[in-house]
Amino acid sequence: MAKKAKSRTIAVRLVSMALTGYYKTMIRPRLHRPLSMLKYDPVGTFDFITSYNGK
Amino acid sequence: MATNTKKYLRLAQSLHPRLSRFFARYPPQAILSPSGTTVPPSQDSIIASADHIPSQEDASASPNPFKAQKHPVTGRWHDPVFSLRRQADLVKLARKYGVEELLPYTVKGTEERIRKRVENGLRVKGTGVGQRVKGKESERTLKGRLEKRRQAMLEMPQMIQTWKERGHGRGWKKWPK
Repeated sequence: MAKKAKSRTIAVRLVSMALTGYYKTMIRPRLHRPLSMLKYDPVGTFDFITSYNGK
Repeated sequence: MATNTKKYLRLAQSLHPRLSRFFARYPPQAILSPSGTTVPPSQDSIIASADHIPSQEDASASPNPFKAQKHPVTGRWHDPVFSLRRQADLVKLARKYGVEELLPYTVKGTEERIRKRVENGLRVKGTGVGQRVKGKESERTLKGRLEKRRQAMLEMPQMIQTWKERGHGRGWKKWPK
């Protein structure tokens, strides 16, 4: 039996670089480069860069 | 000697009747020892030593009424004359009248209580002197993690600057684990 085809997108977790443990879950295309965004961290109350955590 | 006796008499009259009754029944060693020549127990002890009967020796030494006593012949344990509740009552009364040190040793005494408090703390594990609890891992590492977070916060403006310069993540190397 043929293997099930991989989905085109994957769910990734954007983890706070402020080491607060805060994260956001996003969906990105599998072939896309890692996500990296400037967002608000409510724990640290500071802007933060989040980066993808490849699944 | 006479002045001492007068002093003790005045003290006894000023005491609470419950306390004075107790001291009449169990005279404290501090009062007995200086006037040992006139007190009959010394004679008793002489008799006891002549007869070599341990029970009489115990009687002459007037065993602590706050402690359980083992009967010298039968070997059975006898309860203290005063229950723990009454011991505590007496201690409180004696403390009020400032004569606590005249009472025999009791676990309800202030000194003993303070010693226990120091040893055991508030009966909550880890509150005594030199005691500590292991704690959860999150509790043990809390300080270090907060420090790391603080450092990361301090470096954040610089990091954002670098991040913007490197094309918003293109060529970014410091991915979190």
